[in-house]
Amino acid sequence: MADPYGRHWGYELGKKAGLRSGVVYPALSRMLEDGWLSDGWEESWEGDRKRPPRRYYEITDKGRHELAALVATAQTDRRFAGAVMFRASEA
Amino acid sequence: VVELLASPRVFLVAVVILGFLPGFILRLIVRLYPRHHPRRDELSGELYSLPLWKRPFFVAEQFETVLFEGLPVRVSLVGQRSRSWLRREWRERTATTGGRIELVFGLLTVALALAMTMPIVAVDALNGKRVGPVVVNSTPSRFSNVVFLVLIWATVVVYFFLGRWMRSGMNQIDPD
Repeated sequence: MADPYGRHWGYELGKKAGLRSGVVYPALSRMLEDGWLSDGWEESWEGDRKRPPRRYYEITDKGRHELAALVATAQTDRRFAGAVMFRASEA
Repeated sequence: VVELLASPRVFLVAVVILGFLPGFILRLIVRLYPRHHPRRDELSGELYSLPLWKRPFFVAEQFETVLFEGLPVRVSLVGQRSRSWLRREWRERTATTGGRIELVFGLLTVALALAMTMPIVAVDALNGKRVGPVVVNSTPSRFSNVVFLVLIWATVVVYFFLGRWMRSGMNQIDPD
């Protein structure tokens, strides 16, 4: 949400969201299947050559629309109001 | 602490725990994913981008991922392959009269092998024990029982492959 146009790594996303890998990776797979995300692999020159390339995820246009709708829904939903405001003030 | 770190044994343990084991264990557990599943390389890539001290914790966390994501994928793949294999075998074997006869004899062979296996295994397991008023005493040794069972099941396997081999030979014969 903080960087909708950037590249994100699965483990990093989990850490930022405070979720375990066992939850994050299956969720990423489902979002890929639904077309919310696209994925790719680092080029060898992008990082440290001594390690294998990492898989990254980017939000697609469809994903951004869905995300915006989701945030709008959450903002009107009283259950998430505090959390959304908290995240917004953090960002 | 410096003395502890200077100890060769502690150094060796640290190298194994931080340097060798995480990569080794991760590569083992990701094998639960099917061969070309992207998660295999993804998790390895993520592991080596982390600092050394975080790697054991990362690997421990991935047990959950592999168990709840990789295992169901693997099980469904094995199920799919088994079903398609069974369908193909069934189609091939029931296509001709010879195949149907072969199938019936094959099933009889398996039934016979099972009927011979069960009492041998049961008597072997109960050997020397009292069952009601009778003390079970198996005359053949465990070794001879095992040899006999191997022979029985080898016959079933040979029958299966012999049938396949003969059918493939028959298919190569030009009907003209």
